[in-house]
Amino acid sequence: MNIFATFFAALPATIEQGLIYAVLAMGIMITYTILDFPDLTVDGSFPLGAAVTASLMLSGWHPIACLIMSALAGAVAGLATGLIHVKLKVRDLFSGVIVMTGLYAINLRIAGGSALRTIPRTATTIFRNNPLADVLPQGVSVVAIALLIALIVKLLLDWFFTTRYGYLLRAAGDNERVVTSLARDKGNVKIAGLVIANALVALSGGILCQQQRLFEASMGTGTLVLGLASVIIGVNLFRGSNLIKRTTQVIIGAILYKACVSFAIACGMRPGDLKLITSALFLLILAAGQMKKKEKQYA
Amino acid sequence: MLELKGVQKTFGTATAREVRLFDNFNLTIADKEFVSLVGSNGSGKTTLLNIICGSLPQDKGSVVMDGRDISGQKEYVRARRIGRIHQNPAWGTVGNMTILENLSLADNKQRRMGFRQGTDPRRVEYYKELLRPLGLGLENMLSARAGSLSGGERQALAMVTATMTPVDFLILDEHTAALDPQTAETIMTLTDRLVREKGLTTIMITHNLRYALAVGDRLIMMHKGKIVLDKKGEDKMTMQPGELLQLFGGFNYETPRTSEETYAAYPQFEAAAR
Ligand SMILES: Nc1ncnc2c1ncn2[C@@H]1O[C@H](COP(=O)(O)OP(=O)(O)O)[C@@H](O)[C@H]1O
Ligand SMILES: [Mg+2]
Repeated sequence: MNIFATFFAALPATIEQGLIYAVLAMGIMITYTILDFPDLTVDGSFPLGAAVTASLMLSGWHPIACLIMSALAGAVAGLATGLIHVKLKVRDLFSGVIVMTGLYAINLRIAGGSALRTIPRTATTIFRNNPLADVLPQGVSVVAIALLIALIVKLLLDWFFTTRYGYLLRAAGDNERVVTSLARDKGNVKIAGLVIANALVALSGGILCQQQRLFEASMGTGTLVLGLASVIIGVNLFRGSNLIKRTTQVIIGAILYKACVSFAIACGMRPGDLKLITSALFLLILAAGQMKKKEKQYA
Repeated sequence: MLELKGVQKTFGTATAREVRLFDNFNLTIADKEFVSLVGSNGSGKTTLLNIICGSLPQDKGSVVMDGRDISGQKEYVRARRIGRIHQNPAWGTVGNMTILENLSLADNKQRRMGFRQGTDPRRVEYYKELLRPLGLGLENMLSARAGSLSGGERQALAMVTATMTPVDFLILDEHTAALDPQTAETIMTLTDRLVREKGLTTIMITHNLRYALAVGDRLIMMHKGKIVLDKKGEDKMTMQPGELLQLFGGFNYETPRTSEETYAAYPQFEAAAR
């Protein structure tokens, strides 16, 4: 029972993290499920968001302004990947790898040359030492704020997908020909999708940085896999249900993924071993993705 | 008016499988002309349409639309004036979006694609009016996903979306080939109606020689990248399916026969082809 005790003790933290990573997962939902683009940029844009937030916070910026800047930085990273892919015709995976690799160096620069930046306990973040956090009961304040942010992002995305441009983006992922027939450049639509997705991913990185009061250069490793796992868990869990929106499914998927990881840790799994689990999961996802493609072909 | 002037197209240039498909290919299609295009597999029909629509670049020559050379125009720019329907009904609409969303998307073609609501509720009645004449009941299932429709229903929807905003040209590539005979008939009737109503300049590829003769006002047969038959008006109307079939067979199946020999066998076609 020790395992369960440990697991439940960690549950609030698990849910907090799940909600923060849900923002990232919603970004990956756009590139992977809507645009069918395996975007490795996220492994660089997630820590990019954290680096921007960390260094701006340390220079005294308002926590919300830091997050906006993080999202903008992520948008630029997505733009870079999009331009490389669409204008220079580099394959999707490689475009992401190129930007991700470049970002590693850029992130270090932004963080002032150090691979680790910490934010003092006394600093004002969106989670602590601010009026909202002060009125919320201790213990639930972080979860409540993380939930609030995830919900705002979810509602914005839900709205976006009902707009004209949102329709176009959905069409681009499903059937590029339709975008062309609507006299629109499908490349530009793809770029826009990458911009939005990476803005969300970097925003998530900035939020995590404020929650953990930490930027670490290697914190982006496995971001894509983690996000994909969340998306796939959420979407498959509610397969065939029209009542629950994709975005909600993905948020639940992110929390469940974090719960699985937390359970594995409670079982005594070492962090080093977790990477093995992650890579096995990645294999599973790719294999499942291949099967999905085949289904599509024969449909 | 649509003109192809001196078009040359070679596939696999400088490889062992080099195929020179078009060599100095010329074709002029008048305004509001409805051309049915026949020819065996590999005769270059789809490639011709791809060059017109800008999906494929030609090596030499030009595509001229209303006197303006559009060879340098991207495919999506040409799509402002061209509606295109493919053989695969799934290519014309977005499967994961509903009928209503697909219609709204098409309706937005000429508008700015900003952050206004994708569907305008005031347009729904108009969409229903567009769907009703199809007689398929699609107007009562606006919230059904396009992907859940049958091939015929989906192709009919694609015809509506492709011609909803004003286009001048309609390009149809075997658009009834994947459908059962009954549904094909329905789509063909719809095609004829849309083309006449909207006065579209149309090129329709079909393998159905009966449709080729019954629909449209000009008939072109292609063989190995060349036009081997070109009939319009009276000449086309008096043509019998049997004659056409014989000619088709002469070109394609009696392999030892060259086009000269085929025309020697069918002298009545010679003049039209030259
Ligand atoms: N993208 C391509 N690459 C190489 N060869 C092609 C390509 N597209 C068409 N071809 C060749 O051009 C010829 C004509 O093809 P196509 O225009 O599709 O014929 P049709 O539509 O009349 O059946 C065929 O021999 C085909 O092999
Ligand atoms: Mg063809």
